[in-house]
Amino acid sequence: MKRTYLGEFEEIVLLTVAVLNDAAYGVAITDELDRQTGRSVSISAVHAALHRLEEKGMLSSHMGDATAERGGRRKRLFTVTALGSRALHDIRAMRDQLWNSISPNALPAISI
Amino acid sequence: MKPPPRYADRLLEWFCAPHLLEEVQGDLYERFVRDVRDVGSQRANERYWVNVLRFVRPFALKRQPIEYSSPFSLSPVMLSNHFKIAWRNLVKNKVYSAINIFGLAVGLATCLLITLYVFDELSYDKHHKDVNRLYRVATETKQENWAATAAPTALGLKNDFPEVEQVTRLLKVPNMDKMLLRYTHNHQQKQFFETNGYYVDSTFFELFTYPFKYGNPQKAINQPNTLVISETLSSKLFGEENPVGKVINVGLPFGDYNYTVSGVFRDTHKSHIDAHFFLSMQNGDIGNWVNQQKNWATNNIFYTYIKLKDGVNAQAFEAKLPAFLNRHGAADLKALGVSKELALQAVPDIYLTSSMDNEISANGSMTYLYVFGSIAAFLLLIACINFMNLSTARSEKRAKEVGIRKAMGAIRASLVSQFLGESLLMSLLALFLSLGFIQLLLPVFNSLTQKNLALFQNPIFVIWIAAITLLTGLLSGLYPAFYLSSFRPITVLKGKLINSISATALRKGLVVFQFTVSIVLILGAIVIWQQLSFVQNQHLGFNKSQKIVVPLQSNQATGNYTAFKDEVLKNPNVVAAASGSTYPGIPSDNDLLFYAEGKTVHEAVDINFATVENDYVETLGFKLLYGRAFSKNFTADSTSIILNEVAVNQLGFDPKTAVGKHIYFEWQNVRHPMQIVGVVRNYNYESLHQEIKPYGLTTTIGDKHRYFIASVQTTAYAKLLADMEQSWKKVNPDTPFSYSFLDQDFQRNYEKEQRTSSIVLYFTLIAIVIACLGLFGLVAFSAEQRTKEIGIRKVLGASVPSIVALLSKEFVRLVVVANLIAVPIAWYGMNQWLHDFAYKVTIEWWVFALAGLLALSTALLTVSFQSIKAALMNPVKSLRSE
Repeated sequence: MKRTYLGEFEEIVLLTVAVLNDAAYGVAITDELDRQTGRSVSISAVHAALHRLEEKGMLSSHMGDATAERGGRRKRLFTVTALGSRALHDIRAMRDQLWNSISPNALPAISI
Repeated sequence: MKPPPRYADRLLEWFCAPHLLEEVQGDLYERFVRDVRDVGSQRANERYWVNVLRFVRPFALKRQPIEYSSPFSLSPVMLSNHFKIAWRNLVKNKVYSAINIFGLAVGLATCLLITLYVFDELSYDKHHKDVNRLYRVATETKQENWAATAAPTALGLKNDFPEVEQVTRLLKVPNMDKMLLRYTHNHQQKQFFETNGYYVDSTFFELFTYPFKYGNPQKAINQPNTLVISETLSSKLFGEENPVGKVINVGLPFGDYNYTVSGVFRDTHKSHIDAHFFLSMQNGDIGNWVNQQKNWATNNIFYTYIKLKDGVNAQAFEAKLPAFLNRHGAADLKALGVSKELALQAVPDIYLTSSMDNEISANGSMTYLYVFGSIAAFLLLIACINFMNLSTARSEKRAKEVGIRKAMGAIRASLVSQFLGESLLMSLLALFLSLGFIQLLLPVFNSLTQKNLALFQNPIFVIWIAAITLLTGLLSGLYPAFYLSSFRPITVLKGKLINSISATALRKGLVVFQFTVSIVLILGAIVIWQQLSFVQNQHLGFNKSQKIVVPLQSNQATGNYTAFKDEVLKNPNVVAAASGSTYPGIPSDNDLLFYAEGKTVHEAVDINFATVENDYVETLGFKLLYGRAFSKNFTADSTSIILNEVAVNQLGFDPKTAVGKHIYFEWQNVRHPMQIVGVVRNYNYESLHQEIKPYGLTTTIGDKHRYFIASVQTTAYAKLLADMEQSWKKVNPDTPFSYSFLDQDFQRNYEKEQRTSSIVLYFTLIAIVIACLGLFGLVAFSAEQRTKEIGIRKVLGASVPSIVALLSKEFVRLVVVANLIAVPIAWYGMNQWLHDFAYKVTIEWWVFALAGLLALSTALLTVSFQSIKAALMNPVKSLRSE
């Protein structure tokens, strides 16, 4: 578990990249984040997170197609690497393990 | 479709890292298009701006390292390589490195010492609050500029001009350079003579800022009979105690007076007012006399300072002063028959630029600062030239390295920076060495300059050190760096390196320059020394040796004068003795306007005079040309005067017939007659800076018991002085005994020259040493280069002298050329310096010959050491290799 230092925001961005599968690039990720979590984040914050994740080796990227609305500029498309996938699974496993260890009445009920 | 805001786009393109720009800009465009659709173009523009600005964050700003074009020389590996090579070069050529570093260190050390000195000289009077509004009012007459003014000037200025915020006066009583301070505590008495005590008005500390250790500067001198003392004086009298409120007894020639200490100031800041203590002008001793001073023409001994209001133009204000003086002082001036003007001097400039008559104490001199500054710069330059010459001369050794570096792809800029870095490293090493030198030399330098300098007392100085070191490194490294980096790899790797003609010529030029500077300095040192010994041995018109002077600076001493004199005269070694208001060699500021019979006050001659006892003429050994000296046989001497030849001539008499004639002076509108009873041969009563001016001796005007002068004949001075002290103690038990020798007092007038002469002498030595070091290096190198040639010559039968001559000829020629250049420069410069003296030596031809010979012989000595070594080498050894 020592290897996966993922911030909460980074984790969410990494998950969103996985959600979007082949079409994960800056604006799309921002929109998807907005849609799924209700967070309104700035494009620059998403770019910064993507950049960081790529440096950590959890994302890989390649240049995609250019579109007219982008002024003829290409997108950078991101995909989750094996390391990224491993990190996500590790986090999930750890959470599950923790959830399973909670005794049924330990948490106060939230809904009625 | 409308594009996003242009300037926001430009901004993004400017700051965003190139490798990120495409995706970032694309995303922003895409978002912009959606925003235009959803919220309209106005809001979309705003959001675009916000989004762009949000990208100002590290990841977007950071440039990706671009392959192939990064500067190699800055990468750590290259840097460490450069460092290693530099170090190896240093260690491999120990002699050359030592010459370079030692030379640079000596140059830097002298340069920094001089900088310390210059900084200190420039710091005078810069610390006062609103110093730019402080001015001193000085007096200008036709003959002289006088630093002080008449007493009522200050108050008049304050009353008449709304521009003047505050005024103050400082009084230094003439012929009273010491006061006896006495403090009694628990029946123990401490007493000593202290110099530099000045009377000041109560407003003094409103104008001048002195940090107080004890007491309040605003109230310090407000009360009558109070005094403010310096920290040093305070610890001398009171130790660590707070002395405020304590009473000091001040002994003056006319009585003893009590003063209460009201403050202690720190002597951290320098000022042209070099006070040890300040006495309030309102007091029981001279206070009454000061208050009576209403005359605008006489007694110009009050130093008057004014503070102008903010925004007042000093020049415009100065233009109003003639009318002001005319309004108040016209009658007084007319009665005295003189005319004068008032002038303003900015206080911060006084110390360095003012050299009027009657300055409070000797000021500094801007000229000497320039002289010392340029000498320091030249010394550093000489040391830098050594570095330049040795590294270009030895360029062959580095040529292969340059060739290989270039072949491996080094560009010129990186080679230049490498070599510059090396020279900076050298200068850094030299700096450390020079800081050591400075620490060692500071005590000597301080005693030489009579200052108290320390290395790190001024934070700006640290910046200076850094700047000078950097400058040294760049100056010495720039030419070699460009020269070395200009080599063509193919030529140098083939092993062909011809020292280009221009480089050789430059090297020779630089050697000539070094020796020119050295020779100018040698000449300067010789001429200054000549002038000083001339000044010391010049006959002054009287005998200055074997004269002991005892100041009579207390009430007791003047009161018991006759008893003391009688006691001293019993001593068989004392030939004659007399007292006087002054004696030759110290300032003589008493003067009156005299005019001859049948003339008016408007034709009066300004005559300085001393008031003396009988036997004064005999004691000092003045030569009486006509008439007689004062004597107790003539009881009516109260209106007699003895004049010197200049005075007699200017009054319009013939010296032969002047005796018996009457002259007059006016005092408080009464005409006083004096009769000439004697004429003495001209003698120098001031230093030889001044021409001999009209001078007179009287017996009554003023107080004659200020100095006791004894003419003695002995070799056992210690015994004689002990006897004199014995007599003094018998008569004046409460006053400490002090004495001086007249010839030494006279000598003190040349302190500035003495100091200059020793500084120039030391600089000269240093310059020669550095220049010779450089020469030594060059000869050593040329001998090394010509090892084979010398070997072959020897095999073919050349003698040792012929080889020495071969090696030395070139350098000797350079020194001769330097001689030719130096002579006119030194001649001109020394004539300028001699201008300050009324009596001076002429610069003779042999001085130049001597200086040239000195330089030549030192150079020859340096060169021959190496060339003889080379000539004595066994040719078998030098030819064997290869």
